[in-house]
Amino acid sequence: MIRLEGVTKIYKGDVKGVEDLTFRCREGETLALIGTSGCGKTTTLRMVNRLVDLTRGKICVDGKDIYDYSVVKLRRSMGYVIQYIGLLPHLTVARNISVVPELEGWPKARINDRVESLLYMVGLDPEVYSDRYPVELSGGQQQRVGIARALAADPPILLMDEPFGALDPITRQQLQDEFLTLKGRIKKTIVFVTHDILEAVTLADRMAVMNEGRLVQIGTPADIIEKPANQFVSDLLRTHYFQLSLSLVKMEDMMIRNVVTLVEEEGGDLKKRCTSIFRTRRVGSLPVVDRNSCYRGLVTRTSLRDPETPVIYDYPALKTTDTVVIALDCLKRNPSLEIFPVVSSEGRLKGLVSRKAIREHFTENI
Amino acid sequence: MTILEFIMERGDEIILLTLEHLQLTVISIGLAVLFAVPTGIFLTRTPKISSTVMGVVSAIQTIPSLALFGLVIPVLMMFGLPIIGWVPALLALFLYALLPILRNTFIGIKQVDQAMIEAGKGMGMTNGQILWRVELPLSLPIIMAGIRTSTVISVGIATLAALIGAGGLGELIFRGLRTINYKLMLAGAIPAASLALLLDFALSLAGRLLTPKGLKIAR
Repeated sequence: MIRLEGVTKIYKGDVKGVEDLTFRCREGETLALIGTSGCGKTTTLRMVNRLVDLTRGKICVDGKDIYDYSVVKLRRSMGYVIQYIGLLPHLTVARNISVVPELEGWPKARINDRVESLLYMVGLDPEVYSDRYPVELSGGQQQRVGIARALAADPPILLMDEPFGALDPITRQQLQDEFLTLKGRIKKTIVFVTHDILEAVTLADRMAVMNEGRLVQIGTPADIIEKPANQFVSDLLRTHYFQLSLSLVKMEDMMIRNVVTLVEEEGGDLKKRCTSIFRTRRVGSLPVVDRNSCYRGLVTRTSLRDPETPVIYDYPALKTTDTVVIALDCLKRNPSLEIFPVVSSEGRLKGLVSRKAIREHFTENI
Repeated sequence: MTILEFIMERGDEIILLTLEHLQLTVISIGLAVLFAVPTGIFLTRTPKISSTVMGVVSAIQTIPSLALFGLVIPVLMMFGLPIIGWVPALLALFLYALLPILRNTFIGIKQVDQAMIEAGKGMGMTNGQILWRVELPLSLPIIMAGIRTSTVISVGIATLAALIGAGGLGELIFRGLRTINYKLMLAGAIPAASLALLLDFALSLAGRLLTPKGLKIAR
């Protein structure tokens, strides 16, 4: 989706901004650019939408060099959220969100519908907030509008430069939480810049760690926490070592054991047996196992109504040895699922863990 | 005969001269706005020459107003243009009105928060769209304040236009001075002062109406 090849930025006076950066951001993934101040992460982001020109190298979006797009068209295909929000103070919330659709010449009615649904999406009641001005909003509300504005014309890519950096810790946490839910729904390719390792771990599918203009390590949060590539990455993690170590707690330590299961081969009508278990045992979901108690699939209250078979056989499961960070990745990949079976390395069902438990473990400790 | 009766008696002449005065002011300010606002915007895009141009315009402002009327005459003569009447008066008033408008436009646009411009660019606005949708609305109150300052100065300086035969309320004042007729002086001075106050008020009202609502709400 976005590919950087040997990207180098040298500022006036031979000051190196970014050096020989090569990596990819896959379609639909959320990639965090993380590093200390001045490591070139913001420059990198700004080169993607051509707010900064590159000195050498190449950036491709959808396989096409960004310099082969018209700059206006390129930028309109990427929502852009900045730390200082940058809402236009002379326009109402609704008008701020409609800027890009207006530039694109959408009809009025379509713009109004879009504004309304976006405000709902970012948790602001359109009745109350549409006609307010930015000065009348709190910082958190302003950034919600900032995010809605970036999403207005439904661009496939979202670029965010320290989107929650200017907010107080409580608001930041709240917005991060909501963003995580939101990004599961909007399915965008997102690149965001942060210096906050915990933010990166919480929100990103993969992280690109940068230092002094170079890429140091790229991988999933779990990869990076478990196998830091060098001293710099370890140092970056160390400041939050205690919190991050909590994210290495394994599923076997937090799952619910002794769950009610259904042995598939025990005969009788599968559906009837499921229905009766749901009724008598008051469970929300029912893992299905074979005679050796190996995990086969899951029955939920919704899947029970499926005319074919009540069992979802490809329902994702976590391993007992998976850490909370890995589980978090699984949550990001499956935003609609609330419960996950936990299986041993031999595939035997060991317990169940809920989305809520994983999230709470993570947000309460970190 | 009281001053009021005197003014009533000369009513027709005073109204005529007031209108002339207003014309001088409005035309010169209009021309100054048409020239100084685009120039001010242009200077924000060309930082290299902005201080030079600003310096020249400031220098014009420092020339005493009476001297400026004297200076424009030989310049006009060189180009074979009329050296008395409306042309030199409008030219001098125009030059005088430039600085406040030019400076306020320049400063007004420069003070627009970079985050707004960054956001505009990031959203894919063209330079023209950034100017019209971001920079001008946000600097409008400051530009309007410049126009207001220029207008009030112009009403004052336009009284001197009478000296080079351009008419206006200055005629009554200078005629009064020459004949030591204080009623005649006041018949020119009071309407001139009122005109300045009135235009100042009208422009401050216009400024408030033109200021976008979102900028008026206090934090």
